[in-house]
Amino acid sequence: MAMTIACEDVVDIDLPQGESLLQVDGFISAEDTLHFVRVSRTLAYNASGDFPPVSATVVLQDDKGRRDTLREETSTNGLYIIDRPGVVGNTYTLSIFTDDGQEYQSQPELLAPVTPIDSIYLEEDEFQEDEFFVVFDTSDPVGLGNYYRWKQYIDDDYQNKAENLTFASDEFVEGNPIFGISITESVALGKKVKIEQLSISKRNFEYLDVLRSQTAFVGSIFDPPPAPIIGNIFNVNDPDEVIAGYFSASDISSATIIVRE
Amino acid sequence: MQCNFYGISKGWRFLLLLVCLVPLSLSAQKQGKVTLNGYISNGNTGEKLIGATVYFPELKAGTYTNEYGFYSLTVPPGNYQLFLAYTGFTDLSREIVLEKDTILNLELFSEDLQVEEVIISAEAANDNVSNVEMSTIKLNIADVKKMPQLLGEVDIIRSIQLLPGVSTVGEGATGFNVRGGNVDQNLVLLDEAPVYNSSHLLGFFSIFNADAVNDIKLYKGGIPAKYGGRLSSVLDVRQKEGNNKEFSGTGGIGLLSSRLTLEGPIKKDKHSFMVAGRRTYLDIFLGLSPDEEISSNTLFFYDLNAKMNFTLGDKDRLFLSGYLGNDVFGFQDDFRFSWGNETATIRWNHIFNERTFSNFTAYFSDYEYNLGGEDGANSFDWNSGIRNYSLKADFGFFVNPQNTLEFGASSIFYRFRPGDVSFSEENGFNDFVIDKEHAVESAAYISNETKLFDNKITIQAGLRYSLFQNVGESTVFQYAEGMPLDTANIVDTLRFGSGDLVKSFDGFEPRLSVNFLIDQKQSVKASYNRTRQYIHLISNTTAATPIDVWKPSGTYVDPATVDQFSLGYFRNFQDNTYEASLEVYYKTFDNLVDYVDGAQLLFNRSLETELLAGEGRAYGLELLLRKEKGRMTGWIGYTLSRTERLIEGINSGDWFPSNYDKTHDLSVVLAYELSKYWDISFNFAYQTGRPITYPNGKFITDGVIAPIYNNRNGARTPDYHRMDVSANYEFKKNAEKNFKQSLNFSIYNLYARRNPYSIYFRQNEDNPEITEAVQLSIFANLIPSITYNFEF
Repeated sequence: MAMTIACEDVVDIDLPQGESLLQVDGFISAEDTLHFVRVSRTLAYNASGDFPPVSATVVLQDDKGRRDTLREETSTNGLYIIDRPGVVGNTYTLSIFTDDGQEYQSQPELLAPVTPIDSIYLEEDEFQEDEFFVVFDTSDPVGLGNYYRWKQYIDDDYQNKAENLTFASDEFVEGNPIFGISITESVALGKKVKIEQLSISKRNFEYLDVLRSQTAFVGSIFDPPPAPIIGNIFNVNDPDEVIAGYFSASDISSATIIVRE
Repeated sequence: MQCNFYGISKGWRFLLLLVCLVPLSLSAQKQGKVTLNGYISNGNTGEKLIGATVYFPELKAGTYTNEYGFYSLTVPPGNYQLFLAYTGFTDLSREIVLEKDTILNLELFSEDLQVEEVIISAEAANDNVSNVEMSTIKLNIADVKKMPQLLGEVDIIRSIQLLPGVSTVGEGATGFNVRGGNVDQNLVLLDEAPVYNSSHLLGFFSIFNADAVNDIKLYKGGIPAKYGGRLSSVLDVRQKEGNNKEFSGTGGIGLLSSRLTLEGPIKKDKHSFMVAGRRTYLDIFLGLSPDEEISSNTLFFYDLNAKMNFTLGDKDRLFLSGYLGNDVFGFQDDFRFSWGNETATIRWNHIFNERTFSNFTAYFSDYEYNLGGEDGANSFDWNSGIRNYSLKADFGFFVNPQNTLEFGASSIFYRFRPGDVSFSEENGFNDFVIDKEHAVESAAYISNETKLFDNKITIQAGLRYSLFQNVGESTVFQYAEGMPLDTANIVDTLRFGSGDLVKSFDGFEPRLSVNFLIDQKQSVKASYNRTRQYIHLISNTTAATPIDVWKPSGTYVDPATVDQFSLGYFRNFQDNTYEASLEVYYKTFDNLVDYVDGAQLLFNRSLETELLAGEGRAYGLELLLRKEKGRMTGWIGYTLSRTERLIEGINSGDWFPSNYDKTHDLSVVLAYELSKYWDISFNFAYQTGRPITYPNGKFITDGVIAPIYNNRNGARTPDYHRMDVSANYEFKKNAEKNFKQSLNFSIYNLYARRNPYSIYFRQNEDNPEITEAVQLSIFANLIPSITYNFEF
């Protein structure tokens, strides 16, 4: 009740302008589609506009002898295209040679297999008429150390806000079938909902965990303290350089449902 | 339970010996003197008075009643004037003839403040100046009740936060911070039993029902040797014993809660009881809502206090007391969250002889929380808590008016339950249990207070020895030698059977306080104390939460220590009407528990991989001007301070300010008696904004724009200030019936300032490409309240 008299105001404050860092945002999966790596620089927190692209030679390697130099989508937008999908069981490493002579690399990421989504169905929202929760079942293979991430698409729009970050480890479900996972807010009639289930690495799980705590779990009096979000990219010659972002590899299974009564 | 005590060290045996031998050797020296001893109590209720002055002016010899209201003075035989004083009570002066050892139980009567004729005794006690204790504040419960209150709830902890040297992360945050200490560094005692979470409603209210409380004392420094186990402070709260003269009651009806306290004699002048209850009823209003989403929610807290005391002859008194409190939140049938404390104390006071007082205590204390959901397939049940059982013996040996010796020993058995969760079988989740941990914390102390040079110099010197044994049954991971503590480096798992020693720690804790009395109006005091803390609250959030767990020192966690030096100048003005003090302190902290960035603290079997050890330092200046007599009472407090932390791996290994570092902190607390029927009161608080971390950049990762942080607590929120007012109207008393009624009108945050609790950073909801800073204010408006109180 004391909470109801609390209030939030957007405030205009002077923020420190830190050094602009290199950032890498990349992803590969076993799905037969194009994948991208974005190389750019970070901005001041209250700056607006696009993140400045970085021109570089970007190379993707795996542990089975693949070595692709990625082509940039246009000549200057910093978006590099992976035009062959990944292979389950292979380990991928990204290398970035910037034009100013620095060499960066990702930690190796294993593209682990993922179990299928066994069924997807709707559950009525008791309090919202004509709205439903999308629920699905899956299972965890025997053996600890499986990490999952789920993505949701509503009418083909990827829901990528901080509060949509959902992921889990198999610590509590080891080897079991898992029923009734619900990751969406209630969805209105007529919407199409697609759920993707991704295998992720332990390192990626830990990264997402800090990322979520620093972006979604804010605004209460019980927030975790601000912490650096450390990804998996490093400067080969300067281990102290801080690089933002993550390069990840996942296998994907998915299921789609249209919300009907 | 089975415990092996083979870890007992030399120091421990030495102190045990001391504790046993000292009283024997001293009891002989009395040489032709006689002892006057007894209890001093409130004549209206029979309640014992703590810290009342007993004084022979002719001999310039005096003492104070101890925590149990007992005094003992050994003087040459003769005819003397005996003088008794206690704040808020009419002084008593009477002639006595002392020929032999005498038991004299005395009563003082409270000044029924007749506004027209306030009597200020010229001889009123100058405790503030003459007492060796420094950095100590006693709060009078009647004064606390006069202060403006949030929603009419008289809140002891919120009142304490208005004293110099005491701060908080923010209003609504659990607990309080004393001289740079974390919330888990306060030893909060309720009738000698420690309370592990002193907050209700996440931190908005404290668990102490003021109607059930008799006495509150806070030690910020110069902590006496008899207290131990926490680094920074002791908050000693004692419940009412119960009126042994007549049946009486107090109670009230407020916006948030109602409360009722009943007390009375079981046998007049001998045995009495007190029971008190308080419950909030917000959920009753919720239940009236036509909206089922609201009406099916639950939200309340309650407290139950009880105490009984029995006088078994002149030499023995027995006390039973207990507390039970709970908070319950429920969101429809899906989710339920409850937490609460339980304490129980059995205390026996025995007077061995006219100069030796003893207190034997057995207590139990428990804090637990539970989260659960009933919703069919998704149901779960999560429990966690800390529980302890303790035995304690304290002795006071009143050697002569110049020397008072205190000694004692205690042992606490702890059971830590970090958390276990069970799920319904249907949803595929496995039950998850983190092994319990157990420990025994034992201590012995000895302390002597000596008055030298015609009472000009008082020295209280004490030594405490503490021993902490982390014992089985438990499980400890072994990590590869020389490798970082990481789950990947676990090479072995050690299992300890019940009572097996896992690890033991021990150490001495010297305590010293000195008072140099310049004259009857002014003194200089100095103190040093070392404190050791063996149990740690694992909490990584800005404010502590009810789901934080306590962790004992053990294989991977060392005990924390504090060394504190304080120096103060104390001066009273106008016949002790105004008390002023200026204190400076310097404090260093070692082995404070901290956390790696992004630490996972809940449901972590290898919690040690998330912990770091750090150092701290705190220093400051505190000014307090206080007036406790007359129509106008209250205080002005000011603190200038700095609190910093140094932790390898955080903030590039540089010092950074702690979350509750507030450079300037000013409080004004005033109450004024307007007439027989009206009194008004006023609070004002100003504090420098608290440290927070601002991002110095942003980056994008899979569509989420995230802040970049690298300078822990490098910025501050805007300053905090707030004013509260209240008025109290006392109804005309019914001449025959002793029934008093009053109405309290309070406005919290009078000028409706939106004080920032925190500033956080997020993507704009409508346009996620825009990032913005958002200020959260917990009390964004003025909060009026009205409370009806009665007394009979």
